[in-house]
Order: sequence, then C-alpha cells, then structure tokens
Amino acid sequence: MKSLELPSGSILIAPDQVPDSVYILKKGLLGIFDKLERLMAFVYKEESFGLESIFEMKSFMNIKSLTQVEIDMYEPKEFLDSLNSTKKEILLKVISNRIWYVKRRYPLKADERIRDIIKELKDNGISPGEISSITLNLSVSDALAFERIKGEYGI
Amino acid sequence: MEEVNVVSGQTVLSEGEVPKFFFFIKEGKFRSGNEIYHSGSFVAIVEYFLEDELVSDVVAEVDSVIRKYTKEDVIGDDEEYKEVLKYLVESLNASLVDYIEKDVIGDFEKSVDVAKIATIVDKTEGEDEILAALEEMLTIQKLPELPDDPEKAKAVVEMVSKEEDIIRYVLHRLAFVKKFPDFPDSKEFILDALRIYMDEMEDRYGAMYSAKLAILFYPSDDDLMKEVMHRSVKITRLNKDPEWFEYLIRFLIRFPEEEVKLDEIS
Repeated sequence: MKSLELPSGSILIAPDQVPDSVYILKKGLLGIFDKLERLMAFVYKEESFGLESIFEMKSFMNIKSLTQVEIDMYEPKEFLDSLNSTKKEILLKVISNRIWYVKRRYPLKADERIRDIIKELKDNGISPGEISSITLNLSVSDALAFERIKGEYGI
Repeated sequence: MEEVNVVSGQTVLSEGEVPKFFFFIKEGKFRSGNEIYHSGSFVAIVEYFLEDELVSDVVAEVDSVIRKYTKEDVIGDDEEYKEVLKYLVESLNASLVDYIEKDVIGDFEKSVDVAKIATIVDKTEGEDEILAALEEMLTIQKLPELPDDPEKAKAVVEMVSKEEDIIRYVLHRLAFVKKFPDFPDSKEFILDALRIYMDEMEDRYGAMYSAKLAILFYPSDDDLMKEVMHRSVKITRLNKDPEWFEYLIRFLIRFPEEEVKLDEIS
C-alpha cells in the first residue's frame, strides 16, 4: 500500500482506461463524472474506487478530486485480501448507492441535478466552503446552474 | 443460495416490496417496468443492498431458472463475491454510458427532419407519394447494419461511393464510428461525416449529431476537438440555439490561443 496527497482538480481515473490500482480515499472528496463531464456521484472518506483494476476492465468513469485529497493505493489482490466480512458488505452497499444516484440524476435537468447534488453533500456533512469549491470542476452548464441555485442553500 | 424454476408470467418480486433476496438469471428472461433482464444478469441487487422498495413487479417473460442469493451467500464465498462485485462495477460503468448514448445518439435514429418533410409534402400531390416520401425519410435516418469484424465493416464502408449516394456514404461512416469507436479510421470517418453534413449537404441536424458523437468518443483528442468544437459553435449559432454560447465558452477555455470571429459564424 502507498499513500498519496493530491490537490483539488486532479484526475485520478481517466475514462476508457484500465485503472492500475484500487484506491481508498482517506481525506477529502472525489467526484465521479460522466463522459460529458456531468457530476453524477461522489466518493467519500474511506470509500474505494478503481475497482475495475481487479477485473482488468476499462473504467468509463472520470474521477476528479473536488478538494485536496489523501489517498491509499492498493494492488488489486492486496485490496481483496484486506476485506473482512463487514468491509465486503459495505463495499457492495456503496456501489449500489452510486448506481442508485447515477440512475436518479440522469433524467434530471441541470438545475435539478445540482440541487440534488448540493443536498447530498450537505447531508454528508460537507461544508459550504467545500461545496462551493466543486464549481471549479463542473461543466459550464452545471457551473451556471450552481451559481443560480447556491443562494437557496446558503452557499 | 437456492436454485428455483420460474414459469412464464410468474411474479418473483412485487412493486413496493423491500426484497429479502436478489437473484441471478441462469436461464430465461425477466421484465421489471421498462427494463428487460437476460440470462447472466443479477436482478433487484441494488434494492436488496440498499433495503429499498422495488418500483415495479419483477415478472418472468419466459420459463426461467434463477438462483436466489442473500448477502450471507455472497460474502461467505470469495468467487461468488467477485462475480457480484464485478456485476455491480459493470452496472455503474454502464449507467454512466447508457444514458449519454440514449440522450445524444438515440434521438437521431428516431427522429425525422420535419423541415425536410414539409418541403417534400409541399411539392408532392397525393397521399401515397407523401407516405412514400415519409417512409424514405425514416429509412435514411436509420444507420446501416455492419459486419461484426471491423476490417470487413471498413471494407463495406469504403465500397459506398460518395458521388453515387452521399447520404448512404455518411450514414455508413457514422455507423462504423458508433460500432467501432476505438478503430484507428473512426476519427477520420467522423470528421468526414461532419464536414459533408455541414459543408456539402447543409444539414445542421446531421452535422450536430456527428459533432456530438465525436465529443462523446474522442474528448481528449485536441486536434479533432479543435475542429469539432469550433464547428459546434457555428452550428448552434446558425440554429439560434442558446447553447451556442456555452459551446463558445467551452471552446475558448480549451483553446485559449484560438481566435473565433463571431461575424464569420453568424
């Protein structure tokens, strides 16, 4: 296992590539974007990503850091071996949760999607300052929607 | 894990139910709302792990064989766990691609250019001629089927002559790009289709479709994106689409050294 520190806006996984490692986010917040750079889901502290590396599968995700982050990198086998029963169950729940958010957010227009995203971030204890910093990583239409909406949430 | 036979029409899980198990389709087919699940799929897995209500009944479309699972079955068996984990990771990736393809690409294949039909109807007398013209419009919007082998498909695409049938020529190129986006010739084909739609056919709908396909498949190719994004600004501005301004901002952010003369693209 190796540890890394990266600034906001770093690309951790680029789409259409097989990730090298499985990663666990130790500090900060990551965004999962689609190919059109719409923010669709999040990786929170202690959650993993880059699981495609276990199956040598291409990832279609574009994962960028929304704040400064600290990350642990694992070899795929090393990661699997590190999972006990509780962690195995949590991992399946976390991915299910990401699928649920992605499916729910796709039919939404930019304004509604950004409202949904701000609410999720607030519910997960992300500070207004950190929420505000995500605009740096949004597509133009989402960033404009964010600017229109943020006042409603005291940001 | 329990293997169960299910007869066609049988409801395995009901709307509003929080599933007590999820299942793998060993043989058969299931429907849940608008979604169809084939053999090899896991069903109700997200709802099971999130302890969420199902939004529609899960019904067997044909006689089927399923394997019912609970989390204990999966977590206690390394191979089963890897299969389930792989399925969820694939599903998440697929959902990040699926909607874009439906949203950006599906629209083109279902749509008919109303302006073109209006022109035909205006010049045509009689219901049969109008129906024939409509049928022709619908036919030409459908992308042609190509062989599964990319080399054979390329040979089919290159046999279509632009001089003989320009519409077939561009549609074959688009079909190839959509089927084999990673094949080396695809970038040349998509640029060719975009230029022909825009400069020779003056079909802005087809041009925008080609541009969106290029943006979807090759967002990191700077040379390709420079032309595609610049043309997208031009198309959307000509269409009086308010999105033109967004395309312009995207272009200027990506290529700050490039000059865009607005009077040339209005």
